[in-house]
Amino acid sequence: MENVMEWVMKFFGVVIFTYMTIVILAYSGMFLFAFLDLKRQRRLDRRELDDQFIDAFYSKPVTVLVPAYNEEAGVVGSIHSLLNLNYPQTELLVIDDGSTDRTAEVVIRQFDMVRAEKPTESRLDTRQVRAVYRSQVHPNLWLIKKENGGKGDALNVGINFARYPYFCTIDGDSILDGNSLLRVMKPIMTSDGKVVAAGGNVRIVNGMAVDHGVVSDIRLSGRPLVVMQVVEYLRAFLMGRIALSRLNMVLIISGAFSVFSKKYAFEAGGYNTETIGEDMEMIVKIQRLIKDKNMDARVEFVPDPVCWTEAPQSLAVLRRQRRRWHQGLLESLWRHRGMTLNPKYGSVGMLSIPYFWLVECLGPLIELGGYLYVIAAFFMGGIYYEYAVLLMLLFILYGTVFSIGSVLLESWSLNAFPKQRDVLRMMALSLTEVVWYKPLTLFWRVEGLVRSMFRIRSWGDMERVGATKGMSE
Amino acid sequence: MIGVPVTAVFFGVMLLFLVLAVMTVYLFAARDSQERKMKKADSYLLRNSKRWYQVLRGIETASQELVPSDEAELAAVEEIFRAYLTNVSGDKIKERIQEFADVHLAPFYRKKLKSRNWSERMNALYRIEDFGMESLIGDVRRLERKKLTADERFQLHLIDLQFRPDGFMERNATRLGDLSEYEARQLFFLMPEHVFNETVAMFGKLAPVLQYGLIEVLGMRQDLMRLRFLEELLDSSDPEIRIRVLRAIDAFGIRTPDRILERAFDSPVWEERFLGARMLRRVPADEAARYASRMRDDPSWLVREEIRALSVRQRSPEGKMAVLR
Repeated sequence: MENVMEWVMKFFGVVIFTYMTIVILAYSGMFLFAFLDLKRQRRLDRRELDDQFIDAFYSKPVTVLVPAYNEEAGVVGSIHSLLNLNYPQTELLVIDDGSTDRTAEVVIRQFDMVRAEKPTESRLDTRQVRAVYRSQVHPNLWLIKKENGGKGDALNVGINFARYPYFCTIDGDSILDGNSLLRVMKPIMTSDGKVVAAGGNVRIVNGMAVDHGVVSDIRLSGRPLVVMQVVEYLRAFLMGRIALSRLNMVLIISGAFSVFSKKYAFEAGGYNTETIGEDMEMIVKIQRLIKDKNMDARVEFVPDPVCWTEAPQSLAVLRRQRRRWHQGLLESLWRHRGMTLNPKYGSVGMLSIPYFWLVECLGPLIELGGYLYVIAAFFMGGIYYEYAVLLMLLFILYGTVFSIGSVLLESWSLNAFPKQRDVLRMMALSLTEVVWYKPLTLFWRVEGLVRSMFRIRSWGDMERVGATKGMSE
Repeated sequence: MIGVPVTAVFFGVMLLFLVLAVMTVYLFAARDSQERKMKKADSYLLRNSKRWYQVLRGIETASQELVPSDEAELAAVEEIFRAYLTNVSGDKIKERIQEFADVHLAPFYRKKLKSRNWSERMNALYRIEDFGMESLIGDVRRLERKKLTADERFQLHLIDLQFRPDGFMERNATRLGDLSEYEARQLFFLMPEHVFNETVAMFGKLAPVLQYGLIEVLGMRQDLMRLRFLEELLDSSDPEIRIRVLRAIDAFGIRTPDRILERAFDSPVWEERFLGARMLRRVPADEAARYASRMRDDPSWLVREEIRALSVRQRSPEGKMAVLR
């Protein structure tokens, strides 16, 4: 019996240590990549670039799509922020996906809208559109009311109605910085359209002072749960995506803020309405299309343009969100499993997808196993005690060190949180990450994995607290 | 079992924490220094904004006190110059800024041009262009010999165009082929008229990317004198050129001549037929209807859709007005 136990402990020990070593090495590489990239651009006067791109002669017109489902609390703030965008030519389509609250009423009243007609390409099959409204105050602002069909379906309606060759997707609870669209469009414009999708940096708005859709004072939320998510976003966006973008291996750009070429979106068949993670699915489909048709095109992440989004403030909502995200991730990877380790798909198939399988998808299972292993090893004492200490150290290295490193990297390069007190708080909370936040999110992600296997599907509403109106604290 | 280097990993992690602690101290010190600089710049602005107004309006001359003594004050002067160039401008103001920058700011930018940091070099190039600092041309040309990024190279072209417009295209035609079309368009827009005319004259010798950009710019400039030139380009064997030409002619906003419409509708390329269909917006309804009936069964869905949309539009009051216009 003792031998069996020893064998089991040894086996799992080897698996977990190997996994942790791979992950730490991968993260270190990506961190280094991000550091070098941000170091290069750190002192650049971006206003010069903005000035160049603001000229309508050089820029490309963009249709902004705002899918909204029960976004009564934040949709007006979002629209205000989009109307304030510093961009020469946009049209703004708010797609009310059959909300059961007063989302449409609020928008119609606030922006003085009347029934109108708008040409549509109808190339993507969608649920029925009930009515189209146009603002009398802002003629480029439209509201499309449709039957409920999910976010993917709402976006497809938006693509059908979009007038311009590029469309930008923004969540109904998100707000954009004034120059964000200009900056996210830069790689698309300068590449002569070879960049067919681009995503910006998403940050958490909870705790900030927001005035008419503009973040007027940057303050860190007082809630530890929100602060941990702030750190998590910084880490994910700055470390992972910068490196993957430079290597043309991006598989995720946040649906909260991304721009696509309409032509490629049509060719990829639009958003998938069946999957939970429609944003990742769209990028994977586009990457697949690029490789299948041998196109000279790429997907990019741009760290500078910022979109502010509302984060869950309670454990229950965060749990639902993480479960849903993980289900979406697994569904997309499974759907495109043929790309895994397939040389036809280049670095996306050989590196990016295996990385997402191992680290992002199955990683939580191994890491949670690691936590259980630590507990078991502590109880077993003897040599296992040393294992437990070693594994905890690796968790600290993997979690805390990279989190603090990301906070420092962000503060040094982009300086999103100018107050030193906020930076110190983020760092202090990062020190506690491995003992509460990490195990919790791992558990929820594993839950998502299990639910996917048993095909349990529920989107789970995100309860809005109106953070985009500065009402979250 | 597994060799467990607990002590080594422990010291490794501790070392990393130490590095992070040092980085934190460095970051906060750098922020303090940055804040001090900003305060110094603010104080310069507060002290000198009114005097700069007098100097740039030509009411008084720039005294030694206005010359920036360090990076913080340089940042303040840059702010003032940028504000005037963007919001007020005028040839006299530009001249005064140029004179001051050439004499007093050049040493700062000369140093920045030699910096190993890419963003420092880029900022210097932007300022040289913005402030028209001719005194740094030699330094800029020396930079040309080094290995540069595409952004730097483009900025060098803009500066070259600004200070040596004559013969710009002869000097650079080959190298400009590496630009993106977006950059090419920007360059064409900034060209003085005589350089632009020279560029149009050497159209056949330009790289395709420059040809495409030039056609787009001709469309945006809506210069009717170029209509004949564009029409001749419809004989090109490159369908991309023909498509761009039709788009440029459409951008003119005029009633398109029948001979151009005929050529568009006879094309085997659907994009050309589509643009032809789009041009029907400005053709009188009866004539448009004749073309529309011919194109109603076009194999391309987009062409058919454009024809259908045209019929709807022409029935609406707005559409009738557009045709009349």
